Amino acid sequence: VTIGLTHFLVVSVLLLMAGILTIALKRNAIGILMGVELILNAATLNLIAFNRYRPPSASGGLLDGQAFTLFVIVIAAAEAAVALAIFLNFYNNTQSIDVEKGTELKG
Amino acid sequence: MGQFQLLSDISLCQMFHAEHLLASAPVAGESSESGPLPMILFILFGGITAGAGFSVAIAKNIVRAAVGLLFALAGMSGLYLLLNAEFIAAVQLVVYVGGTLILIVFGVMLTSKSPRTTYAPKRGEVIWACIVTLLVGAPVMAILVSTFNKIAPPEIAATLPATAIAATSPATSGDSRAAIGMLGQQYPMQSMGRALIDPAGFLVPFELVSVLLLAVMIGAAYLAKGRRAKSQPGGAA
Repeated sequence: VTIGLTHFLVVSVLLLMAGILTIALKRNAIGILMGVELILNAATLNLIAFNRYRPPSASGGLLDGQAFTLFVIVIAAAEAAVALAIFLNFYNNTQSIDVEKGTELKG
Repeated sequence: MGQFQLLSDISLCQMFHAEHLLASAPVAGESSESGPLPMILFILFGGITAGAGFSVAIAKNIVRAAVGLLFALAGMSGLYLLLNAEFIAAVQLVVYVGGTLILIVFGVMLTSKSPRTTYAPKRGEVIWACIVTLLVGAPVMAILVSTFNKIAPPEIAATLPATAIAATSPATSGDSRAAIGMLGQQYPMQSMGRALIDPAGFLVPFELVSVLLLAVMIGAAYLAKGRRAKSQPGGAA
């Protein structure tokens, strides 16, 4: 019994679908942020899987996929920090975290 | 070594098959089969990851969604271990589970009046969300599976490199070790560190990310305390 590239891709697509479903179903802004994190994780799983099963050709580094994943993780952490700061401001303004209440910018 | 230079000229499909030949060559004398354990672990971690991901989607309570996210991220770390990305697995646990998730949980606690507030989406919303998810997910799944089922040789076990290294590294020259590539990489963390400070590698994005982190730190602190500092000057510092 061996594990192929396809197995990991299937898990990745399932994570992507879970993320999209989360974003579509949640009205809590932090819930939507969780969906974004799930989608980012699906992307990084793809990167790592392709890096693992890539041909050992001369062009390109051996760990390009893993380096990309490092940057994705760092940027996801930065995104979560900024998003939560914005959500705290939003909560202070509207006394609610429901994204349906965010109508201030509506012209 | 000629055959490896030829690799850059032939198509992707052939290259994946060539990798299969290359991978099976070093362990010809030993059994490359490592038993059913990798598959069991894959099913365990993959099931945890996908199941917890969907539990995030269907959880009505935001705290339960956070717990589901915890299991999904931890399962991802196990999948990284199966893919021989030990460093990334550790970073995933430390940064994602230990950092980002805690940040999210703090956000949940700071912004909910009661931890038991739930929101049940309406039936129409659920139907639309499922339609959109299937519209996006089904084609992606079909394309990925149909494409890479052909060119990925199923013979490559996820745990191959450890045995391959043990079988080949003392005797082989550095040249062929480089040709074996990541399949015979002895110290992946060393090459990862070198790639991050290599001007031809990831030095520029590495420095840019450090600038980005500084900007995010200042910006998040400013955003989170701006209003309070205005209402009570001197008290927020």
